[in-house]
Amino acid sequence: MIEVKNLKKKFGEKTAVDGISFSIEKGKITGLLGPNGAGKTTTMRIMAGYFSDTEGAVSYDGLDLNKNFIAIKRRLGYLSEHAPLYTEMNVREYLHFCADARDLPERIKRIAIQKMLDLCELKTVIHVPIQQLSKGFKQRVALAGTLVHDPDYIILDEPSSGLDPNQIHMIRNLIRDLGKNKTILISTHILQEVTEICEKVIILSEGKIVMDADVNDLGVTDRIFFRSDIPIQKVKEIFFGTGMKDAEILQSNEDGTFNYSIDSLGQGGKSVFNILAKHSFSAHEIRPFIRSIDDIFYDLTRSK
Amino acid sequence: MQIFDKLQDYILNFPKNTKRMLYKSNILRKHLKVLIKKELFAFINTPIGYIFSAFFVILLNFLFFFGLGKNSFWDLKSASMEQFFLWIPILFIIFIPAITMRLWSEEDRNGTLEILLTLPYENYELVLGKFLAALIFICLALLATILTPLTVIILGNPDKGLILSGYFGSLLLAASYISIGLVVSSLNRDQITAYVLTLLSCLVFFLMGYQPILQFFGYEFGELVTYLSLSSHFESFRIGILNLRDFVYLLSFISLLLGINVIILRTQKS
Repeated sequence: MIEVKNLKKKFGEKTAVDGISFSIEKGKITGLLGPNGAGKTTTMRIMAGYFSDTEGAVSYDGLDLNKNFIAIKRRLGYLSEHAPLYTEMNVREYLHFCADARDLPERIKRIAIQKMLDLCELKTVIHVPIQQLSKGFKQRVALAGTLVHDPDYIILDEPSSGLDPNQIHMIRNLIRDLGKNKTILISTHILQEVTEICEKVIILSEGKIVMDADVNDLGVTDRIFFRSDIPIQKVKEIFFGTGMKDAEILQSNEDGTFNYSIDSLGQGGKSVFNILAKHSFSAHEIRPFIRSIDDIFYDLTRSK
Repeated sequence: MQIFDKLQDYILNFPKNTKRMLYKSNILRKHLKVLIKKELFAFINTPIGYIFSAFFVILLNFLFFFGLGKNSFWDLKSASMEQFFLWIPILFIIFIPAITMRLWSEEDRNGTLEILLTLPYENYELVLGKFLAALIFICLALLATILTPLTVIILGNPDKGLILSGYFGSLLLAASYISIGLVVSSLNRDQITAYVLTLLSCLVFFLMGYQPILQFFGYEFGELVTYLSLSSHFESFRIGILNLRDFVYLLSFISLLLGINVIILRTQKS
């Protein structure tokens, strides 16, 4: 488990990260979301030990990062934004460098590199100088370098940027597999990626955490969605006094129906159906109203 | 009695302490090997190193054999390497900044500094790795000049001790210039700026020992300036005086700058 407590980081006058606390559990892939400049990269850099001068504490399985710098870095895999690489090396040389830097014994090193070449589909470019590779290949080389020493903690800053849909699919599967017994934090711009591979999501805005929740609970509300041809005045009338409130039209459809959402205050969709039936109305569709991650993200992070 | 206890403690723990020290130095050696190898890749796989080394060797030989004015090897008509080691410090001022300029600034610009600083290495290991890699490269360049003393030895009978001491001094001087270059490179993201500033800094440390400048400063202050210059300490090696004072001065100069480099690395990312 990685625990971050009251982390603060200033660049001159500007506060990049403003006292955030969260924890990342083993086996639960956590996604870090936020608009540009929200402090995602800064947070990850601090966690990876790149910035040394910060307030607050980061601990890995109870070990403080500042006191056990080397021991933790040895077990950490960090892929930084834009996937920087030593472009004068070829793929094989780079992976050897990454493995050597972690003191992997010769035999294990050879197996590990072979495994990464397979996993990241790099076999065809082993001897190509990195500067001649396309963005997608570079991204995967960087990922292979990050994972070659089989780290226990993995921090990936936008691992799928610059990849085509097939490669994104491949990388997501890879991360999902790794996530079963490792502690993983990824940041991304692609909101669907979070719902697809993460179990927990943290949304940052202007250096603060505005949401920290399980992905399964995301967007679950007490509101009920229904589609019907009843006009809004009538809807307000029949639900008056039932304990349900705040009926609103989400959208008018072309077939003359309206999409409604109403706060059921915990009574659920069945009560909505019963009330409609009691007044001899019908509905085309009744279901719990789940807000999409796009809506949540927009509401939480648009500038005030 | 306390001292005796401590001494006893030390003697009893001696095998353990030695073992730990050996282990630590073993790890350091392993880490440095990885870092030096990585740096040498950059030297070997990019053209700039070759271009400047060729430039260094050709220009050095030209200046030695043909020279400027009436000081060339053929003019002096003596099998002496004196002129050779007169030109080396000056050419180093142009040559070494080209080797050191990219060491930190390129890492910073390409973002690879993030790879380096998140490796399980101490900052001093990173600095030492870069320093040693650059020094090895300079060694190779100096090795490429070996034909010149060989020619002189074939033609005449020069003082071989003088040649050895000259080379040794050159190496120490190169190490000093490299440590200046490392510090400047870590403060500048732009390679050209790093090159020019390193060249200027090396030039200042070289000219501080230059006679006319000393006369300008007067005796007392001049004495101090000479002592702090790199050229005055190199001079003893050039004329074949192996002086512990010069050796210690250059070594402290290098250690101080490398130490500053470690501190810069630690404070810069904040």
